[in-house]
Amino acid sequence: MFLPIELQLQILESADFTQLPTLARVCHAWRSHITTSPTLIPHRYTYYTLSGTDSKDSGAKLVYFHKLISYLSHFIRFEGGGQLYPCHIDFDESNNNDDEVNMGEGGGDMEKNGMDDLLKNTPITQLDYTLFGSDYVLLQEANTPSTDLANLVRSCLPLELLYLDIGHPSILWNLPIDDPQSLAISSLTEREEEEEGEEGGKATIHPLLRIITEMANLRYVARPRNGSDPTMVVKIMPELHEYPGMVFASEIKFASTAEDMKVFGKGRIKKIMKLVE
Amino acid sequence: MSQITLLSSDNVEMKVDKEVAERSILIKNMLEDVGETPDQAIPIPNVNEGVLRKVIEWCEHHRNDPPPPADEDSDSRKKSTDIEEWDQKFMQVDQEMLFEIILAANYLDIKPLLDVGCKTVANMIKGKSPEEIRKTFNIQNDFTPEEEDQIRRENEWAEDR
Repeated sequence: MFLPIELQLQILESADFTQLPTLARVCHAWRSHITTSPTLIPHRYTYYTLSGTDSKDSGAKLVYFHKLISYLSHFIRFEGGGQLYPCHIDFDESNNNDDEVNMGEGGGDMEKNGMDDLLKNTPITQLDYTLFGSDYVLLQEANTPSTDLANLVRSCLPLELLYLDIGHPSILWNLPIDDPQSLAISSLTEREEEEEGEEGGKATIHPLLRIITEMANLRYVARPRNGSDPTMVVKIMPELHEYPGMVFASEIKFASTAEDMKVFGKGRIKKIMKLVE
Repeated sequence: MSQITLLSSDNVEMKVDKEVAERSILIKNMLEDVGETPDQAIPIPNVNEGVLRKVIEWCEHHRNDPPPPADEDSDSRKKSTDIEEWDQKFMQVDQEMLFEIILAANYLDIKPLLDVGCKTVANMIKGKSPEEIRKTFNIQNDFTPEEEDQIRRENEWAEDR
């Protein structure tokens, strides 16, 4: 018992966004439908209402963000010197006190068990963006006020991304978006018109993630003030090494102690600031 | 409450409330064309007894549901993999039956049942490799080795610098 192609394609339209890269590798017909179907393109976006309007039905101004960007929470390098993978990780913080993440059976002995324990019971969804590399980062309705849009981008995009280097320090850094307006295109219709015509000059997924990845790879050699050996660190925001009076631990391992583990919680920037004060 | 009789492809008659049967747009249109409740059984040539009983069970449970929203872009469509608890249990059948239900829902034009079936299959193939998915759907891999190589290379964009 097998399903005809039209029903197979209908199943694709029910699939979760994160499944699409895998489904696009099944056969030409599926790949073509996933990349070109006008009914599937909107499934790649999630919408937000602008402030002052409550729901989609009440004529609210909507801004559509590409799910690949709004799902992106971490970059992970699984092997030393290997690729950086854009990923979505949901740490289970339901049982945590004071914003700590659930550390699973490994408990708080991160020094002993390392990053692997942190991720042992945590599902990691790799976001294979290449299929959607030419999609626009966000779509906005016509006449959307630019100030509102800028605020919305700031509030919705993952401004604090975690870079996890398995077996190596984990680092925080920011998404480098200075001009949210430049990421936007007015509508799906406009998008289709631009695809047929000349390039519109709006930001697409591919270059944006390239920029982000480059940022993730900015590294410094830091010389701890306690006299320990110089240590390679990844750029972090705020730039901790520039804080006056800061003393690095003998080795920089942000997830190596119970206190440091708090950086994985919701208020991690604040926690880091506390740690270095 | 008037009843009609449906006749499965394996010649089994089933009595069902007209209101329930009219969850199927195909049957509803047929009944409207006839103009009155037919005395004879309505043949459903593409659906066997077992599948038709399952479809009727679903229609019975959902007999009072409001019609699905016409807006394809509605929130319910966006949360594509969410399935009601009752429907989840209803769809706990083997793959053969699941595909039969989808085919029947498509033939009988019962869109909400078709949606639930498609969502169930979409959930079922989560985490499977392309090769496993091909086996599930009996699909030939029509990518050439060069094309597969190209796709693999595309995925290597984020290499370390």
